[in-house]
Amino acid sequence: MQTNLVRIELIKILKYKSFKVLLGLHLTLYFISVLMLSQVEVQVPGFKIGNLFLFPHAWHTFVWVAGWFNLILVILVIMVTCNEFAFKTFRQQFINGLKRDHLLAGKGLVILILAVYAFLMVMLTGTFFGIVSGSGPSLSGFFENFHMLFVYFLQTVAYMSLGFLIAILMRGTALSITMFFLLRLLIEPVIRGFFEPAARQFFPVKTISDLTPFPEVFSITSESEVMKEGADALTFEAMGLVSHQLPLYINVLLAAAYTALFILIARFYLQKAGL
Amino acid sequence: MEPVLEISGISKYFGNICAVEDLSFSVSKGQVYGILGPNGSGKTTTLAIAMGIIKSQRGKCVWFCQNTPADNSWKKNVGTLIEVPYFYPYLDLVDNLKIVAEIKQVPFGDIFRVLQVAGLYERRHSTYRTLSLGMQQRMAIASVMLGDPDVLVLDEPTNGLDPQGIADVREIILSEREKGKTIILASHILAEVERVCTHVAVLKNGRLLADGPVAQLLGRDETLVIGAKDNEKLMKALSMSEMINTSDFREDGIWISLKEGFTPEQLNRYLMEQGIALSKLEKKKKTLESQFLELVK
Repeated sequence: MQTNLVRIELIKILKYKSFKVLLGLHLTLYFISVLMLSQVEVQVPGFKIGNLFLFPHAWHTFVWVAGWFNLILVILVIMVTCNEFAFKTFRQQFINGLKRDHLLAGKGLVILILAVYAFLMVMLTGTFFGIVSGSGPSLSGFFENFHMLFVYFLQTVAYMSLGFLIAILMRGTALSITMFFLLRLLIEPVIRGFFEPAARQFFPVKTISDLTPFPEVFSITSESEVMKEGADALTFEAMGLVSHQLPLYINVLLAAAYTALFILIARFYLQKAGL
Repeated sequence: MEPVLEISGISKYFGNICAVEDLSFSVSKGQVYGILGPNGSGKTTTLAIAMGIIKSQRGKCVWFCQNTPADNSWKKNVGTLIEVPYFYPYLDLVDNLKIVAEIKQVPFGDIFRVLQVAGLYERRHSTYRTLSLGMQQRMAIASVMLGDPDVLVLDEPTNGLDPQGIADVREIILSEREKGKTIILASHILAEVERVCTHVAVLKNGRLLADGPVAQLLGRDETLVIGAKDNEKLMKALSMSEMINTSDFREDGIWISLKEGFTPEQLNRYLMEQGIALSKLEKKKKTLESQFLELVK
């Protein structure tokens, strides 16, 4: 008989009311956003925003929308991690026979469970709205940008790992959430401001955030119209609406590296610190 | 006897404060080993070091002849309660024990047995936060007994319990002792320790003052209460004798303790030679409490 960390973590989270409420809020807000977006009709010559839901571009749209609510997933991870310190249950589980690495792995599993949930949520809504919006069951279109779902999966894991690291270091829920907000909205952007524009894309929050950029509405919805007019450079980046971004594969590699770093630091700290 | 836990020369300082200093003792299989000491004497720190929760600066602890506190695999065979029990307040008792059962790889069926033993079966679906302090302590006892471990480590297990609860815990400990389990018990309640423990270690300021079998510790300095027609003459004779360790004139007679190697018979013979006939000679059985208070004085 093996100690089943998945079962242990599921007992903890499935009976935790605040967890279920926040998860429900995540799902609800995402659905409302998708529904609202599906109703938006912007008529500007050259493009129609309703086409956002067409395959293969639908995946870009859905991961971008889902990305707005990653913060809720981070709060969930922070809450369940800080609870272990508040209730001193990490200490008790260590006394009962779990290793410190097991404690880390348990929370790693929670992160993975939440990332899989978010992945499935985006995949199912994307498939449904993509088909309903008139893409039809074309397999080639469906799979063309399907990799964006995995990029979104990495983004959620990366954000939640950062949240986990902050929770391990801070140990208090409110403090950790505040620190995450400050890091994302104030500390890193201010630090980035001191660097050359080219270097700014290598910062952790920026790298993770850029994994699911604003969908290139112009190029994806009215490519033919744009090409007809000879304005092939008419992208958001070319218009200066979004900053220059690294190629996706570099962003993915950097985000994966940062995720590994967050987990390694958390592991190092958990090995040394008292429980 | 097969050693269960060997503590050799452990020291732990929190800043300048000495929590434990060069502490050594050994617990063998089947012993009920009491760790006694006033508040701040290092009992909990010693157990926390033994369980690997905190690290000592010097010395080492070895479990079952080969395992260090960091190994952890041996903990599945040790039920431990240190300080207060820690559970998830929003989970019910069964779910909290399911987590412990998963960690210790114990079948879930055992959960209901330990809840019965701890007298919490009726409350099995209550959330932990709704339990009274005494019930929380009972829950900790249930958790410790999950999987029927060979060794129990109990730090103040009767904290917050009412007299019935204290009696129940005593019964549990005695019944586990009957089964040959090894129990390490830190407690303030000396009468309880005296009733259940086979061996004790007395700590003060992190140092070991005495250890050994309870019977040996209690019988080490035998106390006699003696009296004669002329107690003043008796006191004078005692002050000249080399047999006497301490003497104290009290209402019911003169309380004396003999130096090691001397017997009450030898004392009586000596007093007869001095022309004193004792009208009273009583052996007073020491309690652990009196012995403890003398040691930590």
